[in-house]
Amino acid sequence: MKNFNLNISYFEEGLELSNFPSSAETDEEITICYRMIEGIELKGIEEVVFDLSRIPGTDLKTTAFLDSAIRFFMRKKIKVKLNNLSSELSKFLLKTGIRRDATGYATLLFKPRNDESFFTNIGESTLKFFKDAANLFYFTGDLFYTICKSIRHPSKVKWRETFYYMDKAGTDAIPIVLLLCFLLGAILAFQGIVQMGKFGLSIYTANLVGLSIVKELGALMVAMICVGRAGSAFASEISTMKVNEEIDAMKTMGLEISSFLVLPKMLALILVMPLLTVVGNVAGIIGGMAVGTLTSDITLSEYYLRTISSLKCFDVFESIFKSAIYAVLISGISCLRGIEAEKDAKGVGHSATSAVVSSIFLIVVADSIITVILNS
Amino acid sequence: MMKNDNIVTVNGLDIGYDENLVLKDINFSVKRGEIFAILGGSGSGKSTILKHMIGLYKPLKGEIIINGKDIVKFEESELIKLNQHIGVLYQSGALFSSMNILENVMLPLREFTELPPEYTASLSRAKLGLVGLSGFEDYYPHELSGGMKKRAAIARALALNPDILFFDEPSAGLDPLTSIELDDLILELKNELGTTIIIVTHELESIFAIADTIIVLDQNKKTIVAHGEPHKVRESSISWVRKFLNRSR
Ligand SMILES: Nc1ncnc2c1ncn2[C@@H]1O[C@H](COP(=O)(O)OP(=O)(O)OP(=O)(O)O)[C@@H](O)[C@H]1O
Ligand SMILES: [Mg+2]
Repeated sequence: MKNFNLNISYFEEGLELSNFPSSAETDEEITICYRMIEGIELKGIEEVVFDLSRIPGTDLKTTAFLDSAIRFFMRKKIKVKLNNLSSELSKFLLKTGIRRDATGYATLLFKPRNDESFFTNIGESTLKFFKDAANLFYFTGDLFYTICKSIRHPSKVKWRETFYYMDKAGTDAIPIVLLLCFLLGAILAFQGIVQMGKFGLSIYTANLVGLSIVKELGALMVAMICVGRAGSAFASEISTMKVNEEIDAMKTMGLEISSFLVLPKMLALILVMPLLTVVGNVAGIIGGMAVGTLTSDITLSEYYLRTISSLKCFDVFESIFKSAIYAVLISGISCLRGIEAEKDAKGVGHSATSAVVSSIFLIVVADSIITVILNS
Repeated sequence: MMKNDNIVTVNGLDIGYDENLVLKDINFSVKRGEIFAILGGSGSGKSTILKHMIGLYKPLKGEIIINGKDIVKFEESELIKLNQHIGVLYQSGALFSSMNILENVMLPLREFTELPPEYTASLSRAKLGLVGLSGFEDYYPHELSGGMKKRAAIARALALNPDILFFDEPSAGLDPLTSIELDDLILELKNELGTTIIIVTHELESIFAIADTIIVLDQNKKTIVAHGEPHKVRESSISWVRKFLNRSR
């Protein structure tokens, strides 16, 4: 049973609406009423008159309905004239952001904030680029200063936090490092035996596995594991603190972000990743050895001797050096991403993602540079 | 069917977190359409009671009867249905930070009604206007002041015109004038919509202005130490309660 009836009457270049739904109407009736408005043929119409004289009472439902109707017409660039607007209703409409101007037409009180045009977008991304660059310099400088200070006063370093992160990023990562490096070595050996066996050179599998694991893949694999485990955790930890205004609190208490939040994480990774890399290298060689000796006629001692003779002390140094550099990059960029994060829940997720992506990018770039320098 | 006068009844309730008892032997009932205030010192368990009444935690013992049904025994799906009839204002606001405040208010309307999106937007705008936030609809929570967040959260709690509203310290962080307006708003909700409002508050003035019944919790005794109309409780025989309500030393 409908006890309202939205009246629509046409006149020259316009139409008039009266008899609006009130709070007494159910959700369904309001929906029907709104659909009626949406269904009005608007061709050639330049102006709509709302006759508000018979509004039964002012309440949120009525106000909301009028608001949605007025905005509907305004989106279609049709002028809305409000006739017989009571002062009480006009107060309600003001709250939703609609005002009747002196000529009786409805106007929007507030402009939507983000009006995104091509040029504002370009401007904003340029500004963001420079802001990011400035942030990077500021962050690096600050960190460098903290490091210098810590070298002079090693007791000021937050060793308790450092040990905590060493435990989290190091000890807890050993099983997965062992497993993945072992498998990596095994896969390499398998490929080597199949491919080089064709030329009767399967004995060189030991050289292949040893060199590629130690010079390149061991450190890289450990770095990837640490990016996934530690890097993303660092970024989300710091960005969550930022959301909770803990970072602001730290700053106002005069505590240095770099020495409290960044340095312990960085130190922990620098100490732990080379060790993990050594562990991973050994696991990789053992994996290669297992597959190499089991699937071909190479004996264990032969494989062992070949591996030893192919590796130089310098190769092991290269591996450890690389992983230390990766540690600096991972911890640095992850903490920076955390500090730069937006202050909302999405910001936390985004900072973790961006920490992982940037770390991987930097690792690969650093790897190429270091390899060229050390081997030329 | 005769309408039960009590919309919420709490019987022999013991509550706490993991065996860590916060309150014991809680009994009270809330009449339909009244404003019921929970008072007590900081850490006495006010928020804890509220969180149990909306089904976020299970009590250690006892029953919580809302609209004639014991919600302690409710399944997850029944709780979800119940939650559409109650509105909650959390102490920290708990706005969704990835949405602007208009979207925050619209979310329950979108999910639980069939109304056209344009109309729900307008209705949400009207609710935001009601709490004095017109013009801020496209702001994100982290761009608002503490009190504005609180008001936006109130607008969200009001979105579905709930039967029962749970407010955890609504006026904390509001200036005196806004908090008087909030009191008026609460009275309006009670008088015009017949909403039952259960409110945790420290604002003595607002308690005497709006509350029909109050209970006072004691952290040491871990239970209710006074119960009744605000003016009667003020004359309580327990000196601690008298001091609390008269703000004397
Ligand atoms: N999630 C939780 N886990 C364990 N204990 C909690 C938890 N939340 C609160 N508590 C404990 O329950 C007790 C009551 O806390 P509650 O938050 O209910 O206090 P309150 O009366 O609301 O105080 P305030 O006025 O400060 O908000 C406190 O002792 C607190 O330590
Ligand atoms: Mg509380």
